[in-house]
Amino acid sequence: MSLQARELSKAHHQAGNRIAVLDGLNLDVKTGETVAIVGKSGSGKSTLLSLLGGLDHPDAGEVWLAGEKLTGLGETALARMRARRMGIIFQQFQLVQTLTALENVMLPAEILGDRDVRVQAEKLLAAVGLTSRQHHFPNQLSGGEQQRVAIARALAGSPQVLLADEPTGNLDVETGLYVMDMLFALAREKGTSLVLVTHDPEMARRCSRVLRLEKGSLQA
Amino acid sequence: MNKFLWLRREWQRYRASHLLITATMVLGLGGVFLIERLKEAFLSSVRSQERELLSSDLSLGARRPLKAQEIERFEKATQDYAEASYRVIDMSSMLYAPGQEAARLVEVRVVEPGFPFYGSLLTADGNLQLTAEHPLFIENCIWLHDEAARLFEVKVGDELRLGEGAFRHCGTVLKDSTQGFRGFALAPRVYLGRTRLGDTQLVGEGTIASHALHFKLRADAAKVFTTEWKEALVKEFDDPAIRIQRPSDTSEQTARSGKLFGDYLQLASLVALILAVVGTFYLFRTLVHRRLKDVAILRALGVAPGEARKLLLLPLATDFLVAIPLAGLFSAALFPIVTGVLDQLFGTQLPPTGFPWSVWPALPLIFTLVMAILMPSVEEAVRVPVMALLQDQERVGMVPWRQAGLWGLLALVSLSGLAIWAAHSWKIGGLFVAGILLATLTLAGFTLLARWVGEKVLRRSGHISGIFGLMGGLVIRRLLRRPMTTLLTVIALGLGSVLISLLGHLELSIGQEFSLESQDRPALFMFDIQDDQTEKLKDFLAETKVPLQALSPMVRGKLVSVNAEAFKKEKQDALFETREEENESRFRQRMMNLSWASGLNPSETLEEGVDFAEAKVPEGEVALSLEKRFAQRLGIELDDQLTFEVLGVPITGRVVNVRSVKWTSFRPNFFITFAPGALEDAPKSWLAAIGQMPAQEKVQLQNQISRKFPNISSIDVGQLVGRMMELFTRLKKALQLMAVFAFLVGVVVVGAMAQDQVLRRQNEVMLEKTLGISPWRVTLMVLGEFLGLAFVAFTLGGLAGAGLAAVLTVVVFEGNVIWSASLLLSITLGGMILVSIPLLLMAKKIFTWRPAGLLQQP
Ligand SMILES: Nc1ncnc2c1ncn2[C@@H]1O[C@H](COP(=O)(O)OP(=O)(O)OP(=O)(O)O)[C@@H](O)[C@H]1O
Ligand SMILES: [Mg+2]
Repeated sequence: MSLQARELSKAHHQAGNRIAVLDGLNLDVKTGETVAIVGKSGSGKSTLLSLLGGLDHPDAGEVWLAGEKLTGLGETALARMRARRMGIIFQQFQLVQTLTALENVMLPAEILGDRDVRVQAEKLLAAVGLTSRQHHFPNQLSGGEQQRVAIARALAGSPQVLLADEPTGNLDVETGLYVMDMLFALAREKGTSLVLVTHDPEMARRCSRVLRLEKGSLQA
Repeated sequence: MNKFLWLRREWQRYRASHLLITATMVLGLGGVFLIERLKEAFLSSVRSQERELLSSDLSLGARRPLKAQEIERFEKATQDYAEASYRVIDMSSMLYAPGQEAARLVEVRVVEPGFPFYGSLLTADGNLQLTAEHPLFIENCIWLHDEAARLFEVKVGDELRLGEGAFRHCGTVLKDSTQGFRGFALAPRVYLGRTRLGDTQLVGEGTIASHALHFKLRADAAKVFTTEWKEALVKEFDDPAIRIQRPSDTSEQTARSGKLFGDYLQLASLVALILAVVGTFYLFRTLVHRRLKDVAILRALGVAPGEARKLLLLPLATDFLVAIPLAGLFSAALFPIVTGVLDQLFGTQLPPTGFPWSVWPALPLIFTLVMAILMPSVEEAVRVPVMALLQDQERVGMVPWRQAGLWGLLALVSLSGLAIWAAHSWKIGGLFVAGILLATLTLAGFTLLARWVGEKVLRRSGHISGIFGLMGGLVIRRLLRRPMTTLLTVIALGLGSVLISLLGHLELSIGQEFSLESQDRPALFMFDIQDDQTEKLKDFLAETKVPLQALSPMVRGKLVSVNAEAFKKEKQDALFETREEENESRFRQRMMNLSWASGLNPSETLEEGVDFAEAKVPEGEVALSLEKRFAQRLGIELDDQLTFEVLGVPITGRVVNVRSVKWTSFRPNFFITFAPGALEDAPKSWLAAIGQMPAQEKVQLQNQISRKFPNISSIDVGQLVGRMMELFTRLKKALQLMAVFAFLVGVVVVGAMAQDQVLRRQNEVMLEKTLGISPWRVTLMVLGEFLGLAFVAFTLGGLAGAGLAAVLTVVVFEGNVIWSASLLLSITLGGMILVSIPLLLMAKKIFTWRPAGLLQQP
């Protein structure tokens, strides 16, 4: 078992109101499995991903990654865990603006202390078809190109799990398909588990499982 | 679109930005307003005292005894209005106190009954009423100013000798309203009755004394004795030695030194203003960039570029307008603090003032400067490619190079205008702007070069981690790839430290120049030596085995023509008179001190031309040597023919060389030196110096000389230098206050910039945390980035200030350059500590930002 969530609960507090988002949610993702999570806007998909990625702390429940319990770890330990085992892809691409495409891809491995990273990063950029843009900065790339860099970066640390939050939400349909082809191909090639949040039924169908987030928990 | 609605929305949405922009401008304007307030207060305090300073309504004066026909002519011109008159003679002389064995130089004010018409001589028993029966006129009495009484440590009744006369100390004047600001007086004042002047035998040929005839006029006289009246009379006298003064003229003189100093303060405050403009530029640019999307939408909806421009500029103009009254309040709040400090330093109490209206010529210039600097950012936004909106990219438009250049030029022109306005001098204002421009261009060039070279190196590298690890590599990339932020931070922090370092280093090298131990400096400087006394003085000193040095003659004359053209300049009424114009007209009306010598003395260096020995001049002319800066100011060059008039006799000379003079040597030196043979027969007095000797012997010698040659004045050079140093230190402290203000404004601006940067970097910070960099490291990187920049800025600024001080020391003061590592170090360390404060306040925020926010973005 690669990624597990047990009885996860999370509420947001806004202006004194408690908004329960997740309520006793359970999830099991096997190694190499691709899981799509769909649901209405505001149902808590992004909230779930942030808990799975250790970006936020649940109110109750536990998250396990490869037999290690994430819940209760400190920020520094969580950061190290993310660097070693996780790749996250965002709707807004989220590249480091002051790093070139190549440097963005080199970054995760370097965070792990690896210094000989250039060759591998170049290979990844080649895999997403951006060899000629490696010295360009994010603001010199189109949306689709930026997302491809983000995918290459997410895979650079050889993570066990990829978390992707509507990775094609900011792209046109054709570019979205192209980017997703790459994502699926690379994830399969590396044997990485994938948790994909999407609104697009077409994308969801390409995953091995589709789960619907509703009333704070997941349904098949 | 409704402008007010827009403005309100703008303020609601970007309140923090507008508050920061307004606050920054309040700081910048506040400094300028404050100095204007101080100047106005100073001037109004001088003006309110002007009649008391002159002691009368009108005076006729000269640096020589007034001639009978001059007095007659003047009396005739005023007879219908004059109510009373008296004479005043001022001169420097030695006062000897036998009981204390002390001889010191004093300013002797010789008065007649009735003095002063206005103002007072305050004693412990009230004001002196100088009637004809006052002991000052009928007994052997001298009154001492409190400062003199302290200097001599004498009590009332003690014996005093002035010249050949024996007197008693009859009383102490605590406050003399006819005396200017005490910070500037070199010798204390004593008072002598005119009836007793003969006893001293002090007024003789060659003794320099100012003689003045003062009038009290009828109350309705003011409308008669106007500036035109005065100018006509001055023309009628046609003698540069003659000075006619009304109360406003005295205040003009006293105000001059204050104004000059105020100008330097204003320049320092301009630095603060520039920093505030830098801050405003940064904040506004950020604001514009945050709103690119708004602008793109508006443009897509069909709003014309002009309209979009207005919508961007309107809120800014409002901020500026709001900042003006706030800056007025801010300066009013600072005023009592600063006047308190000035009172401590100079003992001048300044009256409170209202809004400094004299600042109005500067306001449009400041506004233009701000606008010119911001316009390129506005243009970038207005030209935003609307297409970018569709691509979800925030990209600014391109501003044509020519247009950006024009805005830059306008900024430069308005800054120059401001600097000239502040300095009242083309030269100093120009130098100031040139310095700022040079510093900015150097830094910009340096930044661009670093970026270019850095990028080459970084591309080649196989990884991000540099010599300082991954964090170092990331920080270096941020700095290089946000060159504008980097540059602005360095400028904002650097300029203030330039000022502080400049003042600090100047003080050090001037301090060394004047340091009391200096061996090349004479112990005593003597003047008013009469023609027939030179041999006697030499003989006397030979007995005491101290050689007389640098015995130099001095003859007074006026320059009448240059190259056979009359040397005179009609003074026009100028609306905006710069200091250069003022200096020039002052020089042109003055009696000058002439001397002769066979060649250069050890404190002089030949700059141009040849020595007297090798000079060939036409028949009937004498070789002349001019001091370099004096020649420059008068526009006289090598080989010019100058004609002087000494007691009505014309003497023509030709400039054969121009020399520089080390004035801090304190030996007799002159602007104009003739070759021997032309001036010997003119009435003259002599100056001389006596070399270094132990302090005890010096006092004894000074006493002996003043007993044997009562008319000869001698100055203890060490003491004089001490007084000058003290004055200089006080001036420096006041300037330093302003420099620290500029420095603090820089820190505040950087604080605001850092605050904004940190907020803008929320994304970056969360992203780095998401990618697995620990919160500690992420926080350290942001702190390290700013502290690293601060380090570079303070160090560069400190070095630049030291360099400027070195240039000034060599060029202006002709002294030795000093570098102080400890001063540089303390500027850098102190600055870093100050900058750390806003950073540490933000560190917590950076540390605790949850990376989950990245998933929750719209
Ligand atoms: N930081 C927050 N503070 C308060 N409420 C929040 C916060 N983040 C999310 N919420 C609320 O929690 C709920 C779930 O949000 P979440 O972003 O997880 O939904 P989502 O399923 O990702 O929606 P979408 O499909 O629109 O991205 C929403 O009602 C949202 O308003
Ligand atoms: Mg979401």
